[in-house]
Amino acid sequence: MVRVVLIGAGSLEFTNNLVRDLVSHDELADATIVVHDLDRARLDLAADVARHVVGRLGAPATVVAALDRREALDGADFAISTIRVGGHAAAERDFTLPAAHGLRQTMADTCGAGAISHALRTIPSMLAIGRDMAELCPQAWLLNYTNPMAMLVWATYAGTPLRRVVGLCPSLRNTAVELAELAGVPFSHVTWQGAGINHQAWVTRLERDGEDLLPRVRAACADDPEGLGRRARAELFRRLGAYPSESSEHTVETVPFFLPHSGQIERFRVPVGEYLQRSLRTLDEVAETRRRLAEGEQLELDDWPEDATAIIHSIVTGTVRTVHASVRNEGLITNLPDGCCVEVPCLVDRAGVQPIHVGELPPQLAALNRRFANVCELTVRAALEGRHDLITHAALVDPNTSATLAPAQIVAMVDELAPSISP
Amino acid sequence: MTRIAFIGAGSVTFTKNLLGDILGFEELADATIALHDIDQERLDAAQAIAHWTNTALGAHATIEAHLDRRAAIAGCDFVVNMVQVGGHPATLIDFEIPRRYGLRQTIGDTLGIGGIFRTLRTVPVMLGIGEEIAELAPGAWFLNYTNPMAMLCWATYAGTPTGRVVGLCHSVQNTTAELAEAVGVPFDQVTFLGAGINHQAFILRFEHEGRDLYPLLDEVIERDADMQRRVRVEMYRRLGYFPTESSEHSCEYLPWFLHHDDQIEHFRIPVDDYIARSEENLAEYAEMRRMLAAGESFEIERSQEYASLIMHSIVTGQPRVIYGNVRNTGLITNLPQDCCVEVPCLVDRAGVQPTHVGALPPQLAALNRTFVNVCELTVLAALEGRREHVYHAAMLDPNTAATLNLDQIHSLVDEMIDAHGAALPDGIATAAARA
Repeated sequence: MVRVVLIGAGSLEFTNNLVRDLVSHDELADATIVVHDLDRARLDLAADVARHVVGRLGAPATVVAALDRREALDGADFAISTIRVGGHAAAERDFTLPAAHGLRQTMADTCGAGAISHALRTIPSMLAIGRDMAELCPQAWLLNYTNPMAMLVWATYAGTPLRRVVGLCPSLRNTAVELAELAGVPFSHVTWQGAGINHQAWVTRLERDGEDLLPRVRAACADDPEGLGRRARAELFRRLGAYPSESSEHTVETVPFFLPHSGQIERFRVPVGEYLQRSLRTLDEVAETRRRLAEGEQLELDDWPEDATAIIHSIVTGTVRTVHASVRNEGLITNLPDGCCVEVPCLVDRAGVQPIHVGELPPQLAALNRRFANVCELTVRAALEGRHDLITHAALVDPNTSATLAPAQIVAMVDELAPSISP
Repeated sequence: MTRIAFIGAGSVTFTKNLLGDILGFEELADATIALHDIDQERLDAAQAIAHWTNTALGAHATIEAHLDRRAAIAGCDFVVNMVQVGGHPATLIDFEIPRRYGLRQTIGDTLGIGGIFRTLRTVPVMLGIGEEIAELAPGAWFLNYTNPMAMLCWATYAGTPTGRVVGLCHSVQNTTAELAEAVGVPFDQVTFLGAGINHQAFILRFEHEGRDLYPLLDEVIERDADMQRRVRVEMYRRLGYFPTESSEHSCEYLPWFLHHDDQIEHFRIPVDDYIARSEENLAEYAEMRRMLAAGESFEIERSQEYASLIMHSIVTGQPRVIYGNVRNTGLITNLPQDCCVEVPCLVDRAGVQPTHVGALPPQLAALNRTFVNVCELTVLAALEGRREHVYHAAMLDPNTAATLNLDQIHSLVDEMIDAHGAALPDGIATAAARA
């Protein structure tokens, strides 16, 4: 019987969908689902949500709530992390403080000053999880959903003995689905490939029966000057020849091309401060879930498949699947640094998550990815080595930050944003 | 007997200095010097200064002058390159068009839009030389002095069968001498180690009898308000390692300075500096021709350049250390394989042998990778004749992308391609621009 631990289960929307997706597989319906959160109230709520979903589906699964992480992880087969360290208040600070120094951000969860700060406060938790797992369930897989993905997964495999760590994000596949729609071809008929770094990966191939579909996508973009023509990711596709895997509001933060220019913000409708709105909505949703459960109302069940469930199912049953995951670059993308965290297609079967060798990315894509990887590397090393100077360096080489601010301003901002760090 | 070709010998001041260095070695004083330039007037001037130098040093070199490059290269042991393709007019284009877009440059010979186009118009010449060496002087060492160093060496070893390509610059020598002076330690007692990419290398070790000298430098900087207003000192303070190039060069390779008016002023950045230098070079050339015609004499002093030392070490077997720009074959482990890196090299009878440096501090590697991005895309554009990679190179250039938006970058590149036209590699000027 498979034991699945949800770490940070207080992320209720995710817990709801993951539990539903998990127990709707016959082979996983009798799973032991351990929900864990550091916040007692959120943990209770998460356990109620999980039980509610299991009950609605009539599955024989067992739901266990554990406030203690080590107790939760003991004997686990899979741990899924959706932790959010610092909550809304920390996220808000990641925006307002850089904004006071003149730096614009949209999501602050991937690359850039806010993301560096976000990673620095989350990495200690990731390291603790990794170390606990190496001790208590050394054969288990850690499936991470928390951002900044590339930095957190990198820190975990570099800073703990845990090797079975993969980062999951639906962005690449979602992008391929959108592109198939733009090309007017059913997704099930499409051959596609994508790789890069999470939130800055690229759909490099999109074909049907050997026909390259990217010209159709290009035409669809050209036919929609006021719609797609005013989206940053479509603009980058036009300039680079491969479609970026993340939404425009994410993508703009990983490059120097948009946020420093007021004219570009307007033309590409860049939603500065967007993540704060989303974060506030999440708070509302938690309150609404609490109210419904208290009043005995039904929760809404979603129906999208989660990669975590697919991986668990493939490993348990041997069903062969392809997922796109963030893993350590061990010669997978040959023109990105060894050791950095890359997003590549992976084979999953009973033997586990097995990354596919991609080879070389087109050089212009590798060049952008290297700049992103620079920020990741310096942030991860700052956290692992407890070095404040490397935090400053991370901000100094960040594409958007360095295109907006002069060095002295960057240093002053970092000193406020990340005043102290210890190994 | 050693045969040495000077390609672009019409850079007469440089020719005089190198020749003085070479013929100053007894073991090289009977060398054959094959001068080549495509400009008859400059070739004549080079030949005159070579004869003058030979006589003044009491050497007995054989001086040849060739308008035909193949004749100069045939049978050489060393080929020294100092061509400047397009000369002063091309330099003016490199500055004036970007300036209209609001894009500032200082030197324009390394990275940035100027560096990209200087590379594009020079690579065809580099490939021609590389092919001719492979055919007419296989085994010869190709010592390149022409900028953009990192891009041109890369294009040559990647695009021709000539593997013995070494790029030479004096920035490491000059920087280490200045640092030693700043801290008051005799240069010959200082231990140093530098590495990186040419014009963006860093002094990784700076020691005296096992003691780190950087804390001493920190004290000097702390007391010197003038030093604090230098870009390279600012870089050192932020990064922890001193950069090997001058402030006016270094500021162009970073997104931090040129697009901020207050940074220009604070760090006293000489925008468009190279135009004045290029004009000075023209004046110096005219003066040199006048002096030759008038039978006046010149000063001969050993220079800082490595070329003669390399030749001497290879010919005599005397071991030396030089800083060379070579293919990264695992030398700097956290920079991309095959990019062109600047590392210490041992030179002896076995040739120029790069040393393994290992991993650079991560912040330095991060900056170098950003530099290498532009180099790689420019070299690929030139070797494969792919115009789209020219746009990509400009998009990835730190200062260009920090100053201009994507539309501006695109039309800037289009204008630059039109202006340089036929000098560019096949495929760049002819291919239709992608929308």
